Formats: sequence, structure tokens, C-alpha cells
Amino acid sequence: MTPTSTTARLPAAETARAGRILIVDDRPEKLLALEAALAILGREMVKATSGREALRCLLQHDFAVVVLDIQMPLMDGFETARLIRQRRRNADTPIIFITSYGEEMHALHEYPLGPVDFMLAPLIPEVLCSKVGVFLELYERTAEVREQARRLLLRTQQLQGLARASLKIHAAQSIDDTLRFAAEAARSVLGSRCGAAAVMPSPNGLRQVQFVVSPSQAGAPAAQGSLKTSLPALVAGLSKPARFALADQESLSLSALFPATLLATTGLIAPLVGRDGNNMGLLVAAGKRDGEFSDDEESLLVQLAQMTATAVENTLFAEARESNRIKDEFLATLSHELRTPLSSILGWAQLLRTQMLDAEETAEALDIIERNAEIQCNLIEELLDVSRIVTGKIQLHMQSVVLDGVIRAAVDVMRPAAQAKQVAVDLALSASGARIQGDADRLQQIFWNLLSNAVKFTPPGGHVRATLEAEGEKALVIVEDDGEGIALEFLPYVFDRFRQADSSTSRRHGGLGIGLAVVRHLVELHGGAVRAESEGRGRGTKIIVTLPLAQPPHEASPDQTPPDGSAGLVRELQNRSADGHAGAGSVPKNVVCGV
Amino acid sequence: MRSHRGPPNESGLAAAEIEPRNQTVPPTEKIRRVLVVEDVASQQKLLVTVLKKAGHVVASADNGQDGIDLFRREAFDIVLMDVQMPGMSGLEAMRAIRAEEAGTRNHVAIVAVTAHALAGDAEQCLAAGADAYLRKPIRLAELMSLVKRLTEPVG
Repeated sequence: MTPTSTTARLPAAETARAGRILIVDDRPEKLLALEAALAILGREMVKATSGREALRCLLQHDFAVVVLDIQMPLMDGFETARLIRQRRRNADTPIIFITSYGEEMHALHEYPLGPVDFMLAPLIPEVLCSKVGVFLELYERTAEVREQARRLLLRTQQLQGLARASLKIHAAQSIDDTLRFAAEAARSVLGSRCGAAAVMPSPNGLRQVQFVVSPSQAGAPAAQGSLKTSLPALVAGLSKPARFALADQESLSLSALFPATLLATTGLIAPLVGRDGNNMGLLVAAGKRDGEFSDDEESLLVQLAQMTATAVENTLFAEARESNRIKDEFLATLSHELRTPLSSILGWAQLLRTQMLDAEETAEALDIIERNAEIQCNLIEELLDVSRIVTGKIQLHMQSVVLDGVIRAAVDVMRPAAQAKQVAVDLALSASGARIQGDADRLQQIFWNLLSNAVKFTPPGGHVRATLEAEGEKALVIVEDDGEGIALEFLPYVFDRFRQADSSTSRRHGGLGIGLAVVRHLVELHGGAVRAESEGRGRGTKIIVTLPLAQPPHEASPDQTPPDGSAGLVRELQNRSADGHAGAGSVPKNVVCGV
Repeated sequence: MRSHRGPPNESGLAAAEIEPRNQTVPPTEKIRRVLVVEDVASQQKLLVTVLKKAGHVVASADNGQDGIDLFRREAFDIVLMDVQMPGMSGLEAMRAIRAEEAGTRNHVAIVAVTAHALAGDAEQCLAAGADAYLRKPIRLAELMSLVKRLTEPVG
């Protein structure tokens, strides 16, 4: 018996798809003989000495083929085969019956046994190997086809996911959204548990933003203030996609982005390469759901990174264009607003020089000149405020301030103008005596700006109302009017610098369009927040300022940090912007969403 | 080529610069009917005063619509039109005036007066029907010579 001929017929077993052989015979010496004969096939063999044991083996493993002795005590081969077939999973598992008596083959007709073969003992090993080999090959080819189909399906799904992600990423209106969608796609398309995207601050107007998208069951929001200074270095040094073990990344601070439960896993990282060839950020997928990241998935991440980089750059360009447009519009408005009073000043001065004006006209001319010079002073003051805000040079002289006093003072300044326009100004200061830490002059500027805006946009006969309430640890100052209101589409931009709802040549109101931007900045410097509400044009406006109340002296501790630290973070941000680092904050944004 | 009538020392407000002399009606100046359309009160009053001092007959309006209403009711030799006004802007008002004149042989002189000073503003005004363009801050001498030039019969 030279079994060599059988080796050539089957390729070496590929571990993943190699089929197993189940050998069933009640006599150990025959089991050994079968095993020896089949060893040449190089496949894993499992031996069973009874029908019952064979069934147990089939429950535990998949088999490419069963070699089954017919003559066995208790449960013979036919009965075993019948029970095997009862399991759906084994309905098509090939069975080779072995018998010493040829007439038993007739009994086969009584059983609907599916794919079977039949061999008479004594067995010729080559023939046995050949038969078993055919079944093995069938099994292994089938498995291969199935695996290819599975991969194709996965690839198709991933490409569809990539296409969907591409649409979403390119349709994103902001860099934040772009990165959030990219992180989501790195998670969902690549079948990983966590996705992250980050861009680094750059001279072309990019500020640092990062998003981590992770399953909610992974625990606490990932990475509170995690990014260390080494991340920009990592981004700069990343020239091509790479795989990394999360646990090894402590020094590179990447691991801090992800939940601790993912530390044992590996990740894929790809750079976001800008048009100039420089890295502006990175895209990460971490914690593969099953198995390891494939080469296909690596190239998927690279494609995702490419479209993310393009989208980020497109958004940057669009933002730059829009901000240029707004600046141009502002310059036109500024020129107009400065020239109008100047024209009166210069014109009346020239007229005075002619000495053609009588005493009354002369007095009025001087009046007009003075008033217009005053208007220009205010404009210049306002401009300087904006310049201080942009350069971060506003200095607050903090002291304990009684809020209702400041509001009353602002109303007093405003009242003559309101009366001249026949706009009623009401005060409802319920939290009188409420104190905050602040700069009295700047606070008065805040309320004066809000009140004068309210009067400006309220027609004669209208009402303006200023309310002060205490709500928990906050003071609420509300300035509302029943005037022109704000168009809903403009509402999100009212606090933006240089933005005006109407900059057309037929606009009704003058002004530079920076008052509310100044208000927001001053309020934020005081650790507060401001928001605008309006039900639309013609429906009045409500501006709500919240400011943190000063702690009563006996309870106050010098440095009170809220237990969760989040309010502290907000304050930290505000301190930063007060120091002139507005927008350059390295404090991350985290988005945690469920799977 | 327009001739300069009268001795130079008598030209008053119509001259290249305003003489610091008390002079109500420069004798050589023809009386013109002027319409001033301007929403900023101190600016309107300035234009009205200086034109009246020069002896012209002046009517004024606070916005484009009122300006057009006046223009329809009365005859004017020249219109000084501010560009940015609430409601109907000066550009719209100028277009409306030129539309009224279409098909007739009338052509009132219009001077656009604007505080906008960026590229394209002058073109916009001329396209809307202005004959000339004055940028704020206005030099009164320039204004007076423009009024004179635009209301003189050619030749």
C-alpha cells in the first residue's frame, strides 16, 4: 500500500477552511486502521466508537465527511445515519458506509439518507482516500465560496457605507459636523467599536476640534480633556496609515481618546492630508468588532480620511469666503456710518464760515455739529471695543456689583431717547440687591446696548421691559420689546460680529452691527451667557442674559469647583477667551452616542 | 465750454470756494427749483439751508416715496437724492423718476448723494439714472458748482 498517490490530489490544508473527518467504528483496531489510511490527507480526524458518540461529536464540530461502520452494537450505522440526517445542519453531510457484507447495500433503499457512498471491506486505502478526498474538496471549496461571498457582501456593504458617509461628510455645514460624521463612519463602516477624528490648529484658520464616537455601554464619556500636547506632534509625524495597539499609545496620548475597555484592542489610524501635503489631523478606528482590520479596511479608512480632508478644506474655504463677504459688508457699513455724521459736521462748519447764518441758525449749526461729533465718538468707541475683543484686550475691573443698580443706571441713560421715540420702558427688578462679581461699567454697557437696541427696533407706542430675577445660583436679566422682532433665519447669527439682518440701501436702521457681539463677549467674560428669542419678524424680541450670582460672603470659598468639573471647564474656556485665546482652545468636544 | 459770468469776486456760493462773506443772493446766480431727498435730518437741513442761502427754491422729502410724490406734483430743475434711505432707497427713487420721464422729452438733473464710498457705488448710481454723484462728506462748493453746471443750458 503506497498512499503517496493521494497526496497530490489535495492541496495542503488551509487551516481556516480545512474539513474534519469523523470516523465511526466500534472496534478500536479498525478505527486505527482507518485513521492510518486517511492520515495522508493531512486533515484533522475525530474518532467515535459508537453511533451515540458520533452524534455527540457532530454536535460539537462540523465535519466534511463521516466514515461510518454499519455493523455496530446497540445502534447500527443505518440508525446512526438516520439520526444524523435528522439534524438540519447535517442533512447534507456526506457519509461513507463501510460493511463486510455486500447485501447490506440493499437496506439503503429503506433510508432517505442523502449523499452517501458505500465501501466494502477489506478497504483499499487509496480508494478510501480518493472517496474521502472528493468529499473534503467539495466541502472545502464550498466553504471557500461561502467565505468569498461573505467577504464580497461585507465589502459591498462597506462601500455602500463609504458612499453614504461621503454624502454626509461633504454635505456637512461645519468642520465640527464633518469630523463628527467622519468619526461615526470610521466606527460604523469599518465595523469598529470606536471612531475618532481630530484636526489641529493651523494658520489657515483651523482650530483644534476632535470627536470621539463610541458605544454608550463603553462607560463614561471618552477622554475628558484628554488630548495632550503630543497629539499635534503625532499628527505632524504621521505620513501613512498605520496600525497600533491601543495599550502602547499612552505616550502618544491616542489611547486617552478611547474608553479604557478598548485598551486591549488594536486600532487603525490615517492622516488627514491637506491639499498642500501637510497633515491637518487624523482619523482613527479602534476596537474591531471581530477579527483584525483587513487591508481592505485600511484602504477604506484612507479613503474616508481623504474625503474628510477635502471636506474640511472646502468648509474652510467657504468659511473664509463668507467671513470676507461679511467683512466687506461691514467695511461698507462702517464707511457709511462714519461719513454720515462727518458730512453734517463738515457741511455745517463750512456753512458757519460763510457767516450767512443768523444767531438762531448758528446755535442750531453748533448743536448739530456737536451731536454728530458725539455720534462719531460713540461709533469709534464701539469699534475700539470690537478691536479689543478681537485682540483679547478687554480688561475687567472686577468688584461686587449690585445688579439692579446697574440696570437702573442703564435705563436712566436710555430714557430720554426712548421718550423722544415714545417708547415706554418698564422695569421689574424682583431680585433687588442681587450681587455679582463684575465690572460695573461693562455691565452697564451690556444693558445699555440691549436697551438701546430694543428702543431702536421698537416703533413709537411700543414697549420695552427690563426684568431681573434670581434663579438658583444665577441672575436672569431679560430685556424684551414688542418691536420688530428677528427673522427666524437670522436668529442664529444675531450675536455674530459684523452681522446685520439688513445691510441693504433701504435699511431702516443705522449702526455697525456689532452691539450684540460686544454684549455676548462682555457677558461671557463675566462667566454668563446670552441668548435671543423671537417668534419672527414683527413679533418682538427677548434677550436673556444669565450671570452667575456672587456667593454670600460667609459661604464663599476662594476656589469652588463644581463636583463634575464641567462648569469649571466652561469657566476655564471663558478665562481663556478673556486672555485672548478665544477659539484656539485645546479643550476637546466629545460626542458619545449609542451603537 | 461754459462761460463764467460776472466778476469772480461776486460769484459767491457758486464759486469754487465759499467766501466768508455775508451774502444772501449772489446776483449772477439763476434761481433754481431744487428737490432734496434725504432721511438724516441734520443733513437734509444742511442742504436745504445752503441752497436757500444761495437763493434757490427748495423742497424736501425724508424718503424716496415722498420724494417721488413731490416730483410728480411740482416741477424741479434738479434733484439731490440720498442713496440709503429706509423704505424706498434713493436708487429705486431715481429709477422711478427716470421711468416717469420715459417717452417724454423731460430729463430732470439728478445728483446722487451717498455715504457709500466703495467701488461700484458710483456705477450703481449712474446706472439708476443719476447724472452726477456726490460723496459724503459733501464739500459745499462742489455741490454748488454741480448744481450750477447741471442746470445750465448746454452751450
